[in-house]
Amino acid sequence: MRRAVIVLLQSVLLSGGAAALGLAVNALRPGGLPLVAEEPYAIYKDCPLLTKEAQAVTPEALEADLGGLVVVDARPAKEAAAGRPVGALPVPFDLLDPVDPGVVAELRARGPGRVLVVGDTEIDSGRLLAGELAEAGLQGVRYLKGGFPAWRQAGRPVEGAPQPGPDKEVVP
Amino acid sequence: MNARVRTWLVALALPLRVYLGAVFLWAAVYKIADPHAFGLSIATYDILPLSLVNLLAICLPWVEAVVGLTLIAGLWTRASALAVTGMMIMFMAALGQALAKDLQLSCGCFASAEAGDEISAGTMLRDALWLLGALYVLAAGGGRLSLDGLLARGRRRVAPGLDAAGGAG
Repeated sequence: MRRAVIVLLQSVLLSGGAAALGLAVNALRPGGLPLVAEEPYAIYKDCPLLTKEAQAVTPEALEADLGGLVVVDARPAKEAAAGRPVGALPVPFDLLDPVDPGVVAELRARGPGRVLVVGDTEIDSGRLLAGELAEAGLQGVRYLKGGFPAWRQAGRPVEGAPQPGPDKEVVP
Repeated sequence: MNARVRTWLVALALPLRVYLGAVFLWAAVYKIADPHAFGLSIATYDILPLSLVNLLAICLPWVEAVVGLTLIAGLWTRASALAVTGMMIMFMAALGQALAKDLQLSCGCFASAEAGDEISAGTMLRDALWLLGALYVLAAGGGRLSLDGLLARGRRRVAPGLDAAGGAG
């Protein structure tokens, strides 16, 4: 019994001494941690899963008259600045940043089947954003297969053509 | 118990405690080198309040390192094995809780964020085996080939019959 108590005491002493050593080293070393974390650690969280799929529409199947439709541009603002569907509403898709509820409400107010999402082909942002909108409760959301390149190729109207930068101007 | 069997059982504790000591020492090295990464590992387990995360990240690696060294040297062998037992139980509780919550995380046991270091039932089994090893060393003590054994023999020579508790066991 006495032996067990001594072992226990030694164990506490060992751990306590080592912990004190750790505190001392941490205080002395450059880049030591603050004793209490100043801000929360950026811990890994799962990406939100998109479970809903919106309906895809090919450029050929898309009706010629898009009057009454809202075209939503899912591409990043930088790409949209270099050319976008005429009158498109910019809603850049971001997996980690849900669409502003105000925008969702605005789109919902247009009624079912009135939203066409045009994205890019690289990350398929059109499909993803359309899925997110469908998930948010929008009815009959569609996205253009092939995204903005397909839109342009089909001869649909484009605005905001790229402006030549000053460094590209040729001085005679 | 038969004295011969006993000698063998105690002798078996030597490779076991050197192995466990090396594991703990190895685990401590990277945590001491990068306390922030270890703090992040602890925070990801999502058990401790933020105010305690850094304290544990600062102290625990040194406990691992010191206990690893004393286990290898066979100094205060039973006490070291007891500390390892306590830590293993703590680690397994944290792991079990993370597995139950289905957290996707690197276990933070060794070099963190390495691919294939994700927690799983396998991590739990590995920890359970180490826990058994620690319990074995706790029961067996240091034996002759340990600083404990050396010190006990020295004491016996000085004052025969006075074998301290921390002795060879």
